Amino acid sequence: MKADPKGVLTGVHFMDGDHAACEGALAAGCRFVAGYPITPSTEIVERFAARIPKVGGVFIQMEDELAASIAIQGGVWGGQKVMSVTSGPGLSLMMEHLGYAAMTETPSVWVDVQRGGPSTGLPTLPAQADMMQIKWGSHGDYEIIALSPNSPQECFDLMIKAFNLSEEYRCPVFLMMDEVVGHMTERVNIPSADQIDVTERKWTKKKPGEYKAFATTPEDLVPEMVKAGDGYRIHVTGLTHDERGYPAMDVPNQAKLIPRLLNKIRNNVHKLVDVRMDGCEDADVIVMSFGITSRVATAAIDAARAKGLKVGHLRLIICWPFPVALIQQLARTAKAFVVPELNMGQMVLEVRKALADVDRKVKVISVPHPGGTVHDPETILEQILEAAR
Amino acid sequence: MAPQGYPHTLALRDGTKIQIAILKQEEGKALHAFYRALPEEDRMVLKEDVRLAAWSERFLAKVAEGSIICLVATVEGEVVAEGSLYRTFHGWTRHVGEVRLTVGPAWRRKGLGRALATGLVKIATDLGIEKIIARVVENQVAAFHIFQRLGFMKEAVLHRHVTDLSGTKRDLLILANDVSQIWSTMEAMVMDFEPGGGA
Amino acid sequence: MAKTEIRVGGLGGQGVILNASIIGKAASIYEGKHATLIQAFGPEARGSACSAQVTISTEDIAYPYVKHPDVLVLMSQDAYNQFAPSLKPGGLVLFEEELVTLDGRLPEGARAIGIPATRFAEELGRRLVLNIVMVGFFAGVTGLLSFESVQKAVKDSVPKGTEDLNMRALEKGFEYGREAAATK
Repeated sequence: MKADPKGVLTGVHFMDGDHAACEGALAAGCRFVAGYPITPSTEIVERFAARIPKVGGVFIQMEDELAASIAIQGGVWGGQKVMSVTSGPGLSLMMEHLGYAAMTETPSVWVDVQRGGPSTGLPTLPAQADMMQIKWGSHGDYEIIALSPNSPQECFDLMIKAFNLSEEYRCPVFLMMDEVVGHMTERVNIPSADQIDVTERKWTKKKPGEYKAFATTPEDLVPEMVKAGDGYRIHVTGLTHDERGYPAMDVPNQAKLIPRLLNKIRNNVHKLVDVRMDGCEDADVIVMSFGITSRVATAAIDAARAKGLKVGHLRLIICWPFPVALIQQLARTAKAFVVPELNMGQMVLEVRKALADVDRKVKVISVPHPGGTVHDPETILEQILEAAR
Repeated sequence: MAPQGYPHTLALRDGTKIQIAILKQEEGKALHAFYRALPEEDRMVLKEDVRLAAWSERFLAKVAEGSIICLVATVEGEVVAEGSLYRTFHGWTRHVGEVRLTVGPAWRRKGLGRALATGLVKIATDLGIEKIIARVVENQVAAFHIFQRLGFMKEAVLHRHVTDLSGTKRDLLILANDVSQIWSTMEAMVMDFEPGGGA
Repeated sequence: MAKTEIRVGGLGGQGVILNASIIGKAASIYEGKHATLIQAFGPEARGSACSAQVTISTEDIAYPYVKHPDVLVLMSQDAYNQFAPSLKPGGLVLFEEELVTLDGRLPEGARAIGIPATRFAEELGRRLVLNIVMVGFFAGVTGLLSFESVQKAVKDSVPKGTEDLNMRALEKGFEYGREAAATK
């Protein structure tokens, strides 16, 4: 399906990541946003609120992030594509409802413009320290998808991808921005609406009475969806439920439901690999990065290559699910992974996990940072040189 | 600095080509001829007795000193409409300009008034004038719409302030356009600072 | 053309960000180059230090920060004091000559050209257009952006109704810059 032209600001723009993210959401068909303002994400919803009189849609500023994160889900079951936008402290408040979205398979996009933490931390300065929180922050077992843009253009492009993935897998999808990318201004090309593919919601063709809200087949673990007002009687609950959606709080139903929710994603990890690789095939050292750190790492990698070292760059676009198989494959030839991130070591843990089953000895070097500003390329270069020894 | 873009040719809806230009001193006679030819009911709503030579001299003197900027619309040398921006260089209303328009009876409802008014608003803005007013009698509907479309709002009503030809007292509306608002948008753009650095 | 790294510095309220934004817009939208803009605000509001980093390149810009600028555009003494030492040797300083006094902290071989931009802005009718004069000056001296490109970028960036005055400010800065580059 192609994008609705009303929401597509076709043209060449010089705009920052926050604004581009908003345009991406509009282009993807997002027409309901409930949010609560928090630096450095506020511009996204401010722009959304300013744009919707022309585009159509609703923005509600809720009383807090708890309310925002559940209001959007009401919007989904009312038939809309939705997002909520926040930063660290707000994300922490959204954790319960994140679990609800995962449990009820409510397609939704969650935007986190990461800032220094923990707690109130550094409201106006960048970090990348919420990466583990989105994966493990809500209670129980659940899977999410997360994307990480490193430019305003990617904020636009990956926002559309996020919406499409959330409809395809009926799960929460995160767009993990950071304060630098959010406030960085670059050229953003917004194509015409007929050049933008948007994934339609998996509307059922079954009739009321036939349709079961959470019924799936072994081949297709994603159930079909309906919306309020279409004449279907449905029940949506965060309690463990059966195929009809009604509470079924027993061991057999838990044993059926939870693995399916996880396997929806896990069985498709090969389809959910999105990375940019440069020079990894014959590299001795591979730098794995994501978001703004990838642009800083490039400077370090160029300097290392200038010294004659064989350094590859692996940039994660989809960070969750983590590309375990790819890491294991690269570990067959590389000597070391260097992982710079604007946190004290989060995604590096996934690299170590992935390599636990690999026979070969591969060094994994974390280049942490408490946040507040980006790495100095020198720091990353030092670790690359160290890794190459 | 002289207003830019003049003289230029305006094509009316019916195809007639009108020349719009800044009044030159030597065109004073043609302008006066235009005013003397106005029917009485139109002259009665003008502030001054435009039939008098003295008026014409005063007008041209003010044009020369710059306190009146006059745009004339001509067809083959004949003045068919005129619009002026009145301003003072000193005094308490030195930031205010007033726009006055007169369109010859045969040339109304062709878009001339609007063209002149638009041009004068732009000239005023470029000169740094912060507020423009126009005085419109309550039954001058066409004039009211011209200014309304240019963003003028009704600011004051002087009741029973104008006597028309039949002796009827009419309300005079003061319409105003605060153009300093445009510059306040630009002021916001150069502010540079990011408010709300907390939470 | 490789990368050109530019830092614009001044006091909050002078239009530092707008200035840098117009440079970036002209380069990336109207000249088809790549441009990245990053800004930094002072801790308080109006009147405190503000700077913006703009990188222009014919190729993709990876590392977006400007540590050692090729060109400094400075509108306050504070900005000069802070950033002058970071200029690349042989780099160019464009400064508002009534607000900035140069001294020995400029590196080897640096070129410095001043402009009375505030005076020009006031003569044109509004102090507010100081930063537009500086944009024109930047384009005129460096030749990095064509006049048409900056003209379009300014038209695109300023509120409707202010274009004329801003255009004149741009022209004034550009002509002054062109002349200055030819003679100095």
